[in-house]
Amino acid sequence: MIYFDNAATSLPKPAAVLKAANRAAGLGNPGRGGHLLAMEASRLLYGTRAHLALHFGAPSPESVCFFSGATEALNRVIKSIVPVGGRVLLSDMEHNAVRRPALALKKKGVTIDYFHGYGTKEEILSSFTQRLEQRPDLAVFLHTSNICPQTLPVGELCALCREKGVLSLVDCAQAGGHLPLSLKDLQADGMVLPGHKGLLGLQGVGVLLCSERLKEALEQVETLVEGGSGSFSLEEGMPTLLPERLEAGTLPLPAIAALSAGVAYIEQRGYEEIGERISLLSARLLEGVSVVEGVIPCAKRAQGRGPCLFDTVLEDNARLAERLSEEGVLVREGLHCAPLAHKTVGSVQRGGIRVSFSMFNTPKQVDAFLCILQRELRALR
Amino acid sequence: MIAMSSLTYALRGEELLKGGGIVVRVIKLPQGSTKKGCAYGLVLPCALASEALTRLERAGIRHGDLLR
Repeated sequence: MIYFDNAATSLPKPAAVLKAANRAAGLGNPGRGGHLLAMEASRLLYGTRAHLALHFGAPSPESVCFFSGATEALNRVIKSIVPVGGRVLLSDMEHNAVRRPALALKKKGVTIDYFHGYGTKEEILSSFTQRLEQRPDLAVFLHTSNICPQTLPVGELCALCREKGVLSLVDCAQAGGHLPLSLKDLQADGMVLPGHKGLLGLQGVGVLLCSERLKEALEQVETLVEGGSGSFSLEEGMPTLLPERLEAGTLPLPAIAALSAGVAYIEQRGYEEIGERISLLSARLLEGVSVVEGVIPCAKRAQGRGPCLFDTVLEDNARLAERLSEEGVLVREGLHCAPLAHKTVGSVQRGGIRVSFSMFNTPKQVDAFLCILQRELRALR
Repeated sequence: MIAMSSLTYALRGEELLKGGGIVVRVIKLPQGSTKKGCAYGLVLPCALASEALTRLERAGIRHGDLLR
C-alpha cells in the first residue's frame, strides 16, 4: 500500500508511539487523586507538557494546554479571545477549523476581515499590513496550507501583530513535525498543533502553546467548557490558572503519551532529514505529474511547502481516487475541509486530488504512483 | 507542606526543588487543607520551607499557603 494522505493523519506510526500509548492506557487518571497510578499519570502528563514546551519554545509547561484536537484548540482560543462585537483577521487560505468558528462569531456581531495568504511573501505581507490597520482583537493564520505548497511568512506576520498590539494565533496543523517551530522565535502568541499528523501521534489530542500574553488573556476571560478539574472542586468555576482552567474533564492520556513519543522520534530523526525527504518527494511528484496526460496542476502560484494538488480532465475525480485506492494508492480528493482555500486558489468548483507525504514515503512510491495514475487516467477517459 | 496553585505548578515546583537538592514530593493534600476543596501540595522538611518558597517565587511558580 502507498499511503499519501498524511495531511489528514500520518501513517504508519512508529513502534515507540504505539508502545507509549499502550503503557499510558494502563495508568490512572492524571490529576484525579493521589494514588500511585494517578500520580504516575500526572507525572507523564506534566513530562509531556515540559517536553513540548522545550521542543516548541513555549515559556513553561503550564503554557501547554491539551484539547481533543487542533480544531477544539482553535475554537477555544478564537471564541474566548474575540469579544462580542469584536474583530478577527484570517487569511483566505484557512481550513474550516478556523473559518467556521470565526463565522459562528458573526452572530455575536464579530467582524471578519481576510488577508490574502496565497502567492509571494511580499503580496501576503502587503495584504496583511493593510488589514491589520483595522486593529483586530485576534489574527489567526495557518503556517502551511493543507491543500497546496503554500507557506505563510509567519515570523513576519507575528512580528507585525506584536508591533500593533494584536494577539496572533498560528494554525501549525500541516507544519508540525515537518520543520522546526518555535513560539518564541516566531513571536507568536499561540500555536496550535494536532497530535496525529506530522507529530506522528494518535488521533484524539491537539495542543495549544501560549505566550505569556495569551496565557494571561485566557486566564482572564470566561471559560467555554466547565467540568471536573481534579482540584479546587468546591469552587463554582474552573481553576483560574492555565492549563487546568481550559482542561475540563479527563484528558486522553494515551494520545498525549503518544504525542510525546512522536516528538521524541522526530528529535531522533532530525528536522533536516525529514524536511529534505518531503521536499524531494514533492519535487519528484510535481515534476512527474506535469507530464502525465490528463493532469491539470492546481495552485500554480503557491510558494513554500505543503501538499501537492492537481485536477484531471475527468468528469469525476472521486472515481479516480477510488480506482487508485483499489490499486493500493491512498490519496484524498475533494475540498479537504478548506473551501475557502480552494476558492482562493481557483479550485473550489471541482476540488482536487491531494497528495501529502510523510518521512516514511519513498521516491519509489512516487514513481509507482505516477505509473498507476497514468494507467488509471487512461482507463477512465 | 506547601499548598500549590495547581497540579502543574506542584510538579514544576517539585522538579525545580529536586534539581536544587531539596528533598520534596508532590502529594494530594488532606481534605480541609484549603478552602477550595481538593488540592495538591509539596511535602518537604520544615527547615527548608522558607528556602523552598523563595526558590518557587523566584521561578514564578505559583503557590498557596505554607501548611504545618
